[in-house]
Amino acid sequence: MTDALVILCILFAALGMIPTLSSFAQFLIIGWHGVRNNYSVCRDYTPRVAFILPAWNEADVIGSSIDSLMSLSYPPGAWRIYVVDDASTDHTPAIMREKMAQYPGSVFHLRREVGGEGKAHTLNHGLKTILAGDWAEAVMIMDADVLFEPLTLRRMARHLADPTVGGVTAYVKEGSQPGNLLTRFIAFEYITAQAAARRAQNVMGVLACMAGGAQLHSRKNLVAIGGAIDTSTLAEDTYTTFKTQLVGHRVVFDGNAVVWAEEPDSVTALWKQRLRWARGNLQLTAAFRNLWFRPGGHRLGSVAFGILWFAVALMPAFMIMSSAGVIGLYYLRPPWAWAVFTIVWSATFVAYLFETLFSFAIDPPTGSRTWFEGLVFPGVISLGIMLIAVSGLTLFSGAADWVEVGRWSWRDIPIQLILAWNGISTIAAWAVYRLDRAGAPKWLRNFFLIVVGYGPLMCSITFAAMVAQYRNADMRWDKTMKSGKAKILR
Amino acid sequence: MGQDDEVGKGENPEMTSAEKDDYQKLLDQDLATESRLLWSEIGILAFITLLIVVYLILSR
Repeated sequence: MTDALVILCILFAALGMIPTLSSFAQFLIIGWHGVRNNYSVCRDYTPRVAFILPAWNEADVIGSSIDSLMSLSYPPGAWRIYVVDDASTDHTPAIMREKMAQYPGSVFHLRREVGGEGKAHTLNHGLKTILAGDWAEAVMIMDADVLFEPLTLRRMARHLADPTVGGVTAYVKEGSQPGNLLTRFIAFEYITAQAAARRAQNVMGVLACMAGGAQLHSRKNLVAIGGAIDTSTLAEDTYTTFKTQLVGHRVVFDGNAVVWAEEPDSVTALWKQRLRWARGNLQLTAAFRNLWFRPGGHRLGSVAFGILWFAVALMPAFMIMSSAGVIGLYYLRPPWAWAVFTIVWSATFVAYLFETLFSFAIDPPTGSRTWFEGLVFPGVISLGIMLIAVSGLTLFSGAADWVEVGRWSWRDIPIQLILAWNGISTIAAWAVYRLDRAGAPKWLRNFFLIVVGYGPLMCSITFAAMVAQYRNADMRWDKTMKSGKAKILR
Repeated sequence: MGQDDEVGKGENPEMTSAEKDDYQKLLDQDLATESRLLWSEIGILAFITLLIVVYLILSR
């Protein structure tokens, strides 16, 4: 019986490594993008592009977004902007009147008198109008606050010269000015989650998500997916990405095409935004349940992509399994717990070192702005535990001798906290969120965020999404409020 | 700006050679970035491998 439990614990600890190993593997193949990319089939292709900007009370940002779009470097007359006003109650309509007068024939205001149904419904209102005419050869789906660099559209459109490409997405950078600790964490996260991960997915030939802030679709693709965005989940951008690939079109990430966005500057706002994303991913997991781990069919069903997907979608489950496995061993076979702990956290340290250094190299300007947040991304406690594992501190390595099976000692507490930190950090990160929500001073929130880590916060949000999804909680579209702080940083 | 049938039909026939040069420059710049990432990765992996080897030697 004990042997069976020991094997189960080792299996749990091994399964707990899946997120770390899948992320590491993803980073390993990024360099290959230098050889295997879509640039060889690109041409200087400049289709007529209709931009759709869904807007609900975006008076603070819509004007600057339009101005940024109107200064694109693209053939004159080849792009138009359609702002779909989701029954805004602020002065968005007044700003739109001003912008339509400033850019006659290029900027259009589509007003919904009854709104509040979410981004997908708003986008569909615009798509219906645009696809009813034959002017647009491609459609750019974006967010109202997103700022385009002058050459971004040209960089994205060149991929549509390849008729097999149905959609192209860009690298969304966090551009809040002035930023704070949280927005710099997000900026670093976007290097890893977009500039890095999506290049790797280009190499794999399958993309998990085209960023909702910058999705360029060929008209042919939009028609093929039904001419509308799915409204049944909270992750309309990921759903569209899946549908595009399932109708046989390729999707491409261009890491050199950059757009800038304003991201949440409080843990509470970030929690709300990411809870929506994580729930959307879980809904998508269920909606495409017949797709996963079916190699031989579509690439979305490959084992490699399935592991990547579930490593993120079910991350808290892996963290809890990891902790349970090591703690179980601590009670069943203490010396083995130390060995497994050392292997797990040393491997985590190597992955952390490689991914952090490479992330800085992938986007040096953002890396230099966010070097501190990049270093403490897993949290100071996790960094300390990695160092304990790598250095093999005698204080801890001798801990196995302290344990007497069946007898509890106060000395067990710190040891078990360290062994189970993967799981405990998820709860600790939730406490940081509650602290922020309770109105704690920013310095205190920042201190705990640095100690616990931004990575565990993401894991905690995913756990909350799993609970909300299980409870079938209300599916509200909680829009992230934008204040126009984003700037194009050079 | 408005509807213009001369754009959007793939490669613009009226594109000047200067514009084509601009596009080629842009492409070359982006290919150079991707190439830089490949060499950065090789360099970082080599560095980490060296660290692991040194660590293993010292901990024997």
